[in-house]
Amino acid sequence: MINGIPLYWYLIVSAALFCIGLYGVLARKNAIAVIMCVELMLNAVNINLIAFWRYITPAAISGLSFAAFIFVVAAAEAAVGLALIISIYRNTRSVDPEKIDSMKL
Amino acid sequence: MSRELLGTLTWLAPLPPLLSFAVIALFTNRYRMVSAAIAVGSMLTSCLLSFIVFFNAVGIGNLGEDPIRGVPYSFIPTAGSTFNIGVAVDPLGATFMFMVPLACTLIFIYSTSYMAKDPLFTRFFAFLSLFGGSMMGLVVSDNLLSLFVFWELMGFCSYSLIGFFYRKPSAYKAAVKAFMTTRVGDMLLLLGIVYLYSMTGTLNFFDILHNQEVLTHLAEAPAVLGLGISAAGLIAILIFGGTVGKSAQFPLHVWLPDAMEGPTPVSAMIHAATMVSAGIFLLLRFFPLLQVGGRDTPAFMIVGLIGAITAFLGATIAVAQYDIKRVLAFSTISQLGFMVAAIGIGAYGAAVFHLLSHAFFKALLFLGSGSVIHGVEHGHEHVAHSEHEAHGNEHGHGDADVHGHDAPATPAFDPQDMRNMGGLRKRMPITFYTFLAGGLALAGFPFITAGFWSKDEILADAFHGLSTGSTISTIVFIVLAFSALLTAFYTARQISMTFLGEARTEAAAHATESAPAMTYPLIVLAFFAIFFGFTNVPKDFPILGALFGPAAGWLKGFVGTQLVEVEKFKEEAFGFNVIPLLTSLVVALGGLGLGWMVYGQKPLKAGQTDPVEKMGGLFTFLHNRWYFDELYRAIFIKPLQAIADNYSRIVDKGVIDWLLEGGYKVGVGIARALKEFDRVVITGGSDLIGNTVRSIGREGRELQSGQVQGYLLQALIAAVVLMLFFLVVAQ
Amino acid sequence: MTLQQILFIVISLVVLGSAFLVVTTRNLFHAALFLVVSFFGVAGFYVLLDAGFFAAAQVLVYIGAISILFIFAVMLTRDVITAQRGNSQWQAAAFVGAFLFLLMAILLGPFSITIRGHQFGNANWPFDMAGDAIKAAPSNFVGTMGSGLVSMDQYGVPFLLAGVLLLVAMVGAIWVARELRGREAEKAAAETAIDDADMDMNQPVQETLPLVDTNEAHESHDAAAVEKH
Repeated sequence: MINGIPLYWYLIVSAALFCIGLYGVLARKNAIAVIMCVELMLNAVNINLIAFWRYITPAAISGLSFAAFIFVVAAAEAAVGLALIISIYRNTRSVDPEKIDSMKL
Repeated sequence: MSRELLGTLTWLAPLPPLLSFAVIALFTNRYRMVSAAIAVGSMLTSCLLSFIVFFNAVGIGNLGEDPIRGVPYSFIPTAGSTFNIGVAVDPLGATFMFMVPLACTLIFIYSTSYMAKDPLFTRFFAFLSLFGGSMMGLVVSDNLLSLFVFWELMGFCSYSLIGFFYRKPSAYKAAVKAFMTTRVGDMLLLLGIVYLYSMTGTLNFFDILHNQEVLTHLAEAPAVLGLGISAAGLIAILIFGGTVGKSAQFPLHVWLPDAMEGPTPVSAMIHAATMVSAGIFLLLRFFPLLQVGGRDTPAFMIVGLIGAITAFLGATIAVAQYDIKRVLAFSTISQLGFMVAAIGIGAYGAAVFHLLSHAFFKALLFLGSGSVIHGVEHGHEHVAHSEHEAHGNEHGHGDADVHGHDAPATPAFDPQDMRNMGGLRKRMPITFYTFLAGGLALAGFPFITAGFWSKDEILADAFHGLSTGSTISTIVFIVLAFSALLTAFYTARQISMTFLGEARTEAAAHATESAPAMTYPLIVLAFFAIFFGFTNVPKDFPILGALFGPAAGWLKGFVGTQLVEVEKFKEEAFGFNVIPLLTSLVVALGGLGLGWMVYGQKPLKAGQTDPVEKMGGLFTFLHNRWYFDELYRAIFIKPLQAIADNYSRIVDKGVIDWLLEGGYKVGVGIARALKEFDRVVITGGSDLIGNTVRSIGREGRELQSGQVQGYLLQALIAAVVLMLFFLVVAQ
Repeated sequence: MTLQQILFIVISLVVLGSAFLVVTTRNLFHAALFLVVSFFGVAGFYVLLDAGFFAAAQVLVYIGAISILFIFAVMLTRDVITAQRGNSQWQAAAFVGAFLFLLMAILLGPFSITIRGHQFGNANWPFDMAGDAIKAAPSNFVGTMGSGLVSMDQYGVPFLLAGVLLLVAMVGAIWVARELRGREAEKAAAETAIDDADMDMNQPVQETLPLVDTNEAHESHDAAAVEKH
């Protein structure tokens, strides 16, 4: 425990954040909100990674690198996703993921 | 002729009539002339073959010990013991081979004319041939099994022929009565056969009866119920049971009078000459079983007593009958009683002699009565026809006029009732003289009739027994003598009422003599009725015995060779005694004379009552045949009918139908249950499967909604499940 | 109770609270703002974890770029945003989420659980977590990380790829979200037309499809036959 905070506090918090984000992904009726919640999940993962880096191998940089790459990917993904949503909005006048269901059969 | 050839001829002899039956029944039954020709021809052939065998057989000296054997056919019904069926001719059989085919042939010829108007002519000849063949088969059988087969065949023929006019209720009832009554006897016979087989292991006559060891074994073994008699005695009594049935002895005599419902040739053949003689024949065959116990065994007593009772019974009833055929029927019963009584006192030769001579004269009498009946019927038709002509009407005759007894147009004219006859002597002379010859033979008219010699022989044997102190012989002598007296009386009554005096009805006045086909057999039989007696004149008979010289007593000697020497039973040759002769003369002439006085001198006029009726109550008793039919009906028939009715009602309708209905209901219930099962389980089950699949499909379809969030949730759930799986179950 | 612990609790409340509000609020703009708050909280975590660089990167990237992006998107699509909170499967989602959290809490919590011979709970982790080894804070981890990222022996290639990824993402986003004119616009409109009738989840699926016609015929036939009896 570093500064009196055991590792598992961070782990539980990140798990909770992750699950909240998961709920939002599955249950929100707006596509933009879904992507917002995806960002929450990615943040949770980052917290996890950094916590593990700090508590277990603070000398190595692999955890940090991983977290850095997640930053990059999250950003790229948010950009592309939102661009897609704009496009869909323009064509279908709707941002409801439930209405976009032509990917069946 | 060699024995082998004779053996072959012996088994060939019964075949022609049997084949004739098959041919007529199957092929020619629409052609009357052809059928008659086949039948008569077959019987003639059989007669010829039999005569060849007979005339050769009488030349063989030791025929008794070493009979002609033929065609032993090995037949193995049980594993281990072989069973031979074959034919044999011993002296007894040889004499039958002479009498039976001869009588049958004559009757066949007679029938061609007698049955000429009957539409079922060919059927008659078919059955008659079957019968003839069966009788021949019975005579030549050498073992009890084939004998029993032919015995039963004859019973069937008797049934068919008695019930020949099957549309008449009285006829078919009589046929059933005959069959049922003889069945009782046949059952006893079968018991005897079975018992004999169990004791000896064989059914061949010669293995049993000519084998001293077997006979002594049977004599010494006690009867199975230990009734105080030996096995031989019990077997003999059981076999005698068959005789009682078949030969109409008391108490099974009730069927013979009713059997007169059949056509007259049937009565002549079956109930005079052959079938009833078969019973006596069987008993004669098994005489050694009786002998082996000695003269005073209960078996002999029973046989003798029943014979005597029957003789007496038949004679008394015959006196009070009006139907010409019924008189003769009861006369037959009586004479068969004579024969059985003769066997009962051990008089083997006498019994055989009387059997053969009776066959001839009784057949003659029956055929003669048939001729009379025909004549009276023709007279009746003639009268009716002319009456109708006088009235300007034409009637068709001969429409399904079955001969018999019911007849025609005018109120129930019975051509068989002797009260409707009279004066036929002048109108039917041949019939009269031949009938007279037969009647005198029956009565035992001295010296010139066969009946005299045979009856005298029996009385002589009985008297001899009486003189040596045998009770049975005494009884037999007295009873038979009295019965002979009655016999002569009723014979005279019959002849007088039928032929003498004036015609009592128009029918009789117009009666005509019968065709030659009917009268020639009568003549032949009359010849035998007279001259057959001379085959057995006793050696010691005054004058006539010496006249015949070595031929005297031939028949008795011939059949006597058959008897086995048994210690206890010694055939004693006895000399001539005048008392039996006197008795015979007295009873015969006395009876005839009495009858002549009552009926012949003052012949009855039309409408006059019969003097016999003056006996009042006794007459009624005799006329109703001692009420035996009523007695049997009360004791046997009514209870059985009650049982049958109740059985039908309670068991058959109540129990069995109830069970069946229950079974039906159970079956229907099961069917319904199965139907429900089918509907619910099977159909429902398969429907369930289909519906389940469909609903799964329906639900499953909704999983693929095309919505991202839905897919995500499914993936997540799958991932969680897998995670749990790997955490908990697998590592 | 040390300062860091209090800080930790406060920051975690902020993070989780604002995250919860993100997923539940109806107003999407408010959701974006709450998201920003949550990001700030996460940055605070990074500080607590002695990863100051990351805290800064978090603020710059997430709050400075991504959140702006979200706000732009919200603004652009404001006219079709409905006031609904949860979609048709929110209950299942809530349940699964809760279940998953519980699961993870158990596995990661300070307990020691043995299921079928296997041990769970961080009390059993081989490296001492609930307790002891305090590792030294890294001194110059940024520099190390930087040199690691450019070195071909370490994370050089992924770094380059990350750059390519960003480039591609940028290009792709521009292209996907371009304004369509003329024929392109009409074609796109026709292709992506939403058929409202299809959308109705409550409408039952068609019962009779052509394939099962014969079966239906049999069934009705059987039914008729049975009824006759």
